Amino acid sequence: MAKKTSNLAVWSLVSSILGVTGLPIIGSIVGLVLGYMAKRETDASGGALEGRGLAKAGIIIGWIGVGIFTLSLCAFVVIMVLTFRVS
Amino acid sequence: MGFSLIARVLVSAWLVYLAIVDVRRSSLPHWATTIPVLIIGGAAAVVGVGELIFPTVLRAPLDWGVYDALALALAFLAILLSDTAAALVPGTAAVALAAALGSAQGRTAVFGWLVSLAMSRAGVFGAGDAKVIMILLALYPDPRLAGILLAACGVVGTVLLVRKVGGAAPLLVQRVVKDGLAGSLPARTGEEGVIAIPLTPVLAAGALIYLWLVV
Repeated sequence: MAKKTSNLAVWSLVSSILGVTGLPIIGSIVGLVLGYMAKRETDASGGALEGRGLAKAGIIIGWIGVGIFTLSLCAFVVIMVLTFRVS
Repeated sequence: MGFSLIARVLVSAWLVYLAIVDVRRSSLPHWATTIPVLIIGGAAAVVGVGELIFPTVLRAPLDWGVYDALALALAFLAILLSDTAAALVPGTAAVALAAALGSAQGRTAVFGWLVSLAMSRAGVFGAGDAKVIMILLALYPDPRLAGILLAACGVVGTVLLVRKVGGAAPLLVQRVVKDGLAGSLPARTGEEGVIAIPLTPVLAAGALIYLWLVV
């Protein structure tokens, strides 16, 4: 019998990819939360559910999204503070 | 078409006026920034709540959905409460509503308002600069406009920094990071700032590019 794939894992990957494309940070955070939930779900299923790899990919891409966002934000703040005066 | 052209001309004139005032006086007049934000926020509240209660009487303009107007009204409430920690409640609700049920337009405006508010409270933008961004993103809730404004600040800032500061840049960056981690950014009144050019003309230039070359 074919194993079922965890929906949470699929949504984790989708959200994380959105996090590095169209929906920065929010997509990444949602992807991370769903990814960790999916990992726990697949582990608890005792092999009945597939998708641990998808969840792992969602988590890795989610952290990459958070990292890119944090670095971009820091760079933006530094440039703004050193260059512009506030009005 | 005619209305869109008139609106673009009026918004362009407003931007040029604000840029000139900012260069001359280093401040922006309340009537040209605060009052439009109050009107737009108030209108969003009336339309959002009104359309929810009387869907056949009130319709949100600009193809906005009812949830977009409601989310913007919540973001407006967060701005009104921004001197208190209570602002986190409507701010979080606005993000959740826009992310879950809003359109791309609504998300752009709501996130733009809240990011501008956060940046203003952190001292990265001036309050006047933040209001200019809020008004622009409410009138033209387009992710391309947000991108152009960010790019204008980033590109102009980087070029000026590299040209004027050169080799001292790493030390200055270190100072800002250290101050930021300590919870305060350096004062930017013009005396302490490294370059200290006004921000509004840069925002105006970005918005004018969007209005006349992109829309």
